Amino acid sequence: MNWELGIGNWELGAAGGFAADLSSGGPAGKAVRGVRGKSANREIGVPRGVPGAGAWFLAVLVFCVLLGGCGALGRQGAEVLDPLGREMFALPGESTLRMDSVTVHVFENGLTMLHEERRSNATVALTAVVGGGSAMEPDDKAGLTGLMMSSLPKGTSERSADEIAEHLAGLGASLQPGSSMDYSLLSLHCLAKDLGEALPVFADVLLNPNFPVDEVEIERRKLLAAIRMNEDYTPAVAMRRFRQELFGSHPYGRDPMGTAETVGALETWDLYTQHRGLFVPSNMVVGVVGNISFAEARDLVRRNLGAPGPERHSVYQVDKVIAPGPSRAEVPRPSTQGFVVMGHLTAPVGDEDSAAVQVAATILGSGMSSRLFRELRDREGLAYAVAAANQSYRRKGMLAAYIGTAGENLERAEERLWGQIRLLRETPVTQEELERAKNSLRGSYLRSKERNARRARMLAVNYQMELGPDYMDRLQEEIQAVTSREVMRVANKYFLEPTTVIIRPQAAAAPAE
Amino acid sequence: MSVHELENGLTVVLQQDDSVPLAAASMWVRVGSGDEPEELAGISHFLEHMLFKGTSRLGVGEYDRRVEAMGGALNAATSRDYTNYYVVVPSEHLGELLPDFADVLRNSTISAEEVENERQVILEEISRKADNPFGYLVDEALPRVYAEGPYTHPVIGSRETVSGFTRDEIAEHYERFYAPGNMVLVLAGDFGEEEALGLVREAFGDFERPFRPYREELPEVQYAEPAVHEFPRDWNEAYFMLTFPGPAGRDLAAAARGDVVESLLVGGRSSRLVRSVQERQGLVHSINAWFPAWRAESPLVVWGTCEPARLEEARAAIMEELERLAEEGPSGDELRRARRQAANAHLFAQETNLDRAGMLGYSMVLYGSEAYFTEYGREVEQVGRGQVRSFVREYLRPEQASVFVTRRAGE
Repeated sequence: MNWELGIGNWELGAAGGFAADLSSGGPAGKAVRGVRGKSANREIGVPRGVPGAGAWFLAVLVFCVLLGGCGALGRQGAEVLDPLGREMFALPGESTLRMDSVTVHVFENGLTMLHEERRSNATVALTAVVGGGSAMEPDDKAGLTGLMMSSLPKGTSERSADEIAEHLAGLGASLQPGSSMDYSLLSLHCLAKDLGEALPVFADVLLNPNFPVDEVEIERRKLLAAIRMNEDYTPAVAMRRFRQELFGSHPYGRDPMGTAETVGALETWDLYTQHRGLFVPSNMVVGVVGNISFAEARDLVRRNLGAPGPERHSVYQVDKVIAPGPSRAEVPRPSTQGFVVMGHLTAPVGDEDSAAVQVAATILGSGMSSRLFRELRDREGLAYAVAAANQSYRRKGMLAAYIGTAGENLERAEERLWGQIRLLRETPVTQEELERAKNSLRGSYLRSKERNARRARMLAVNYQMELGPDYMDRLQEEIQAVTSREVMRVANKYFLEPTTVIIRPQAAAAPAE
Repeated sequence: MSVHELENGLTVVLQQDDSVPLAAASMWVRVGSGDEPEELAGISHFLEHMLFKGTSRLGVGEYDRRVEAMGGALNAATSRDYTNYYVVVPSEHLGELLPDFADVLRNSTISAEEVENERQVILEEISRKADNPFGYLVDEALPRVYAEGPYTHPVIGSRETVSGFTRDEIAEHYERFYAPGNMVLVLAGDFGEEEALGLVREAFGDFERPFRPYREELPEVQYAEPAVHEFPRDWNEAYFMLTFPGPAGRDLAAAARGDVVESLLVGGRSSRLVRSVQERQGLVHSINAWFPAWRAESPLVVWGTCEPARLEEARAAIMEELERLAEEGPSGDELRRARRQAANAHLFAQETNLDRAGMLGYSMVLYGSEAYFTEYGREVEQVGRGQVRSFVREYLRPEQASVFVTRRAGE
């Protein structure tokens, strides 16, 4: 819910988007008063942004829209720095590439750093991303990665949980652990002048957690509560079921938080093993964006994270085929409003279809000029919250369109959603819509560069996904080249019979006032 | 940064930053649910929706389409004290944007047909809030904090009021409040100041409309007697708010003290309520505080979730921590940490052009100057141990607290 009521969707996937992907909703985070500080949560329980939707829900989807896309790792045009100039302090065994504003540096221990300097404010964000997230857990360990990550700052061989929290709070720094399907990360946000003091603690938390039993129990309790609370929130219920239907028995179909049963059964040893397997230098990419030079960032990262480490150990790893067919599920629920989610499997991250899929999703349901907003909300008054977005994972992507509407309108809403998706298959989009979608995606990318934490995460995650440091720029070029014929082609390739979940309100809900 | 006033009374604030080729425009109209008579509860928010539904020049949704075609993004928000319209575009489009932005703010049609369409949308918005635990609780709880005053109804209004507004009532509300003397425009981003001011003059210079509020002064606030309010809902978790009668938000020093106290209580794992009530005692699953600082007297809110059966224990533990803080005050280290957290949160919240435009607009509307943007850090640094104690003693008194909770009947 909003403290301030908004007219509609806003800055999809901004600030809170990723946190949502990590914690999967539930009241978390600190509310900030009014509009003081738009980057902060203006909502309780759901991240900022997308007032028009289950903010949590769309933020989850859209996070990877920003990441999703296509193209292989390409380094054409990369400029190798002059070893006698800028790189005079580089050490043997290290290498540096510069691509436009981003500099990529590989340390001797295998750790990669991506750096971008921004002098317009006093802060810096640093994000460490490791390959491997909740999709690699076996079914009976679902929730492991999330619990492991949230337990990281709860004690190391050198520091207690209190010491870690007090040190970082003393610098006014924030530490945010998280995990997604394909990767896990730890983010630090602080004043640039404090990075030297914050980074040793960050590195200790990242590399040497000792998972004290009492502290893990506290985190387990929070996670179990979050799982229960998700049952209280219609968009979360709908989305969880939708993933299940869409991805079937593949781990992408699971709730990344796990279940009460699996989380209850996790042991400290599991956390320890998973951590030891993932958090090795060669499996780690660090993004640093903010008011700090490349040389300073490189030296700080080398000092704190540059020590040799073991190779990646074996970790839990699941690989299954994703091949469920279309389906339709109805879920009765004691709520005031009904809810429909409808969608399809789409291209994985980095696929050659990614640009066209994104353009199609944008025309369909992103922003106030999208077809769903104009037709279902503006014209028919069916909903306050209606939108669509595509999210891409390593193995597959998913398009999800959703609408929150009164129980008696559910049939009409379902029919209209499907009608709008089908229209993309049958009729070419207009040139005007195509141009608007492209510009909108370009603007959205430009805005994403404004936030250091988001930019650092995006650079590191894309690199971790083997998409390269310039991936977002290349994707933008591909988006600008998409034609209406291609939009129709991908619509006919992916948007076949839909997977649909209907939440049908039952009488028991309280009055809306 | 520079502040200007046009001849028609419109305040214009310009803040340049060329680090990203973007420009944000943020219009602040001093009207919100706090300005509404009870029978018009929710009309400011309804009007905000109508501004996107066509003008004499632009068709329904055309403004959105034009902005998004520029690669921009837009939205609006209604609060108790203000309504805010904001948009960010690649800076090369600023000149193209401003005439449209002005048109929407000055010349909305508010057609009867579109009012009917939008009514359904807003009724769905009310339903949606009812299904969101804290959305529900905010609308149920916060109006009940007051016996009298401007904030005795939710921003969105009720099904009853929203169902009843006529086209003419909405248009009348628009005519009364959307006057240049009652508005502040902030531009932040990559532009030349002279040029931007010229564009603003072109778009808004000939805008003349008298400001005619329903009442000259904010009505006096009277807080309700403390009470326990239970709302039976079929949710797994108990969602609760403890509210305390707080000071008016228009006092910047009080706002800074409130924010430092908030950090002391819930600013991460090293804070008192998180460490003690959530982590050590395990009585709550989440715990937060919110000091909203509206223009008139505003409640201080501690909110969280817990097992339904443990609410009373959780409440007692929270009160005990508040009493301890009032008694002992914070330690030197603790206070330093809290000040740093509050000051840095303020800096982190200025990262984008839109952040800065929003913060400046809020500052102009609430404090009548750019003080919240420029002076806040200094105010926070001045918060001492004695001030923390007296703030907690004065405002966070357990006997003054009201409790609002949703839980299953019988739990």
